[in-house]
Parts: sequence; C-alpha cells; structure tokens
Amino acid sequence: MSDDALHEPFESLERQRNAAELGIWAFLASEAVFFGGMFLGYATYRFLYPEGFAEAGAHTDIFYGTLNTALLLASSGSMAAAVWAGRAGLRRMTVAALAVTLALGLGFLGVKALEYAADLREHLWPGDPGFPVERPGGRIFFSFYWLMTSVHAVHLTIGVGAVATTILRILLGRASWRGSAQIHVLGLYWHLVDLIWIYLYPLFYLLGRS
Amino acid sequence: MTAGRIILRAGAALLALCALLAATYGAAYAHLGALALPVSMGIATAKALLVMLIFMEQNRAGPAARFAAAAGVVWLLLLLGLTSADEGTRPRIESPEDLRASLRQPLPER
Repeated sequence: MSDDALHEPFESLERQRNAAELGIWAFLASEAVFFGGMFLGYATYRFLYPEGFAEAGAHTDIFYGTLNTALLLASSGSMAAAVWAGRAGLRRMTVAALAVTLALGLGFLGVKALEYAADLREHLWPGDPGFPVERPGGRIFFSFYWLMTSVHAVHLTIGVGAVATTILRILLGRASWRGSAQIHVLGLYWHLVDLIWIYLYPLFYLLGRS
Repeated sequence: MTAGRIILRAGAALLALCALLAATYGAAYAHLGALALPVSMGIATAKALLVMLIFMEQNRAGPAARFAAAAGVVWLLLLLGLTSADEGTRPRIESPEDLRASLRQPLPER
C-alpha cells in the first residue's frame, strides 16, 4: 500500500489504524452515554405517566417513522458495503456505495422535514395552545420526541456532510481510502447514528397503536 | 472480498434487519399488553446486535477498541440501573395528601 496514508506520529499503518479505531470507539461510548441520559429521562417520565405517553405516542406518524427506519437501515448496509469495497481495493464500488449512503441519508432528512411539518400542522409542539393530548405526560412525551429526534437529525446531518466530503476527496485523489481507517471510522459513526434510531423508533412510533 | 460477495453479505444482513422491522411494526398492533415494551425493545436489541456484529465488525475490533466499547456499555448500565432503582423504589408524592399519608406510615419493625 502507498505510504501517503501514513501520518505522523505513527510508525506503521497498522498502529495508525488501531489508534483511529480506539479513538472512534471511545467517542462512540461517550455518545452512547450522552444519548443514554435522554433515554433515561424518557424512561423515567414514561414510568410516571404511562397513559399520557401511550395517548401521545399514538399521535406520531408511524408511516414516516417506519419509512425512515427502512431508509436508515438500508444506508447502514450500503455504508458497510463501502467499507468492505474500500478494503478490497474496489475504488468505483467504494464511491458508488458511499453515494448510495449519501442519497439515503438525505432521503431520511427529507422525510424527517416532511414529518416535522405535518407534526406542526397537527399542533404537536408541546407549547402549542391547540396541543391535542389532555392527559398529564403528553406534552413531556413530545418534548422528548422533538429533543431526541432533532439531536439525532443533527448527528445524521454531520454524517451526511462527512460522507459527501469523503466522496469528493476520493474522486479528487486526496483521500488515502485504501490503507487508512478513514472509511471504517466514518462507517462506525454512521452505524452508531443508525443504532440510536433503532431504539428511538419503537419508543416514539410504536406506542398506543393496539 | 469480491464485489458480488460484498453485495450478497450487505444484502443478507439488510434483509434480516427489514424482517425484524416488519416484525416489530406488526407487534405494535397486536394486543400484547404489558409484553409490548419488552417485545419491541427485544427486537430493537436484535437489530442493534446485527448492526454491531456484521456492519460495525465489533467481533473483529482490536482489544483496545473492545475495551472502549465495553466501558461505554458499563457506564450506560450504571446510569440506567442506578436511576431506575432509585425511581422505582421511591414513594410517589404528588400532593400534600400523599406526603401526609407517607409520613403516617409506621416504620418497619426491627
């Protein structure tokens, strides 16, 4: 493999890859605890106001939520394909898989925007005077909904930007995509954003349906 | 790995994930009562394990990276476990009457 992937202060590509991998996993662990705090707040209030949460949960849009879950799962699949193609030295396939990931990520954000607009039309903002849920806890549910889904969307936006930059750098010949852990690290971040959504989906979209 | 194998592997994992998504969607409309939350969380965890093992290749990660990931899980469990233990064992005091009632309760016999 070419030496341009190797940077100071590392003596070998393998050490550089191990350091990058350790760094991203330490970051992912901190992200898990960051989101964990919000999940914990959600769980505590759901325990205190089960009826309010169930009634409010039935107001989220299960069509948009399920569509977005499918989009994000598919984007994780294409991201994994990009990492494996990069490792196998398949440049065109790496770029194509990253482009699919980018398109699916943008699709997720587009659907999310449509969903937010529909939520606002239905007065689902917790401070809205026409908020449809009377039971206590309903507004708290939607506070967590807006907070957690928007923080997740910010993470995904950062991921979309990073994937677009990586595609551009590979096409311009500026990314050492084969030897370094660059795409692997990008992939791990993307999968974490997917993992968080995997838990957000049942907690916000699958309550109070039966 | 050849291009064909990559597509096959990612596609198979994606198919399994979509099957789990369909299962959890269907379960939301079934009358499961108290089981609804454990079932939906169980399916989410199955999806998360598939993503972690196949896509994130956690089983191939080096010892330092595994240690970092395990540390995250331990902190998360401490956070969730200690708070739920506290919240689950506290008397509910939402009004002055609740407070008076909880104060009138006799102390446990020693």
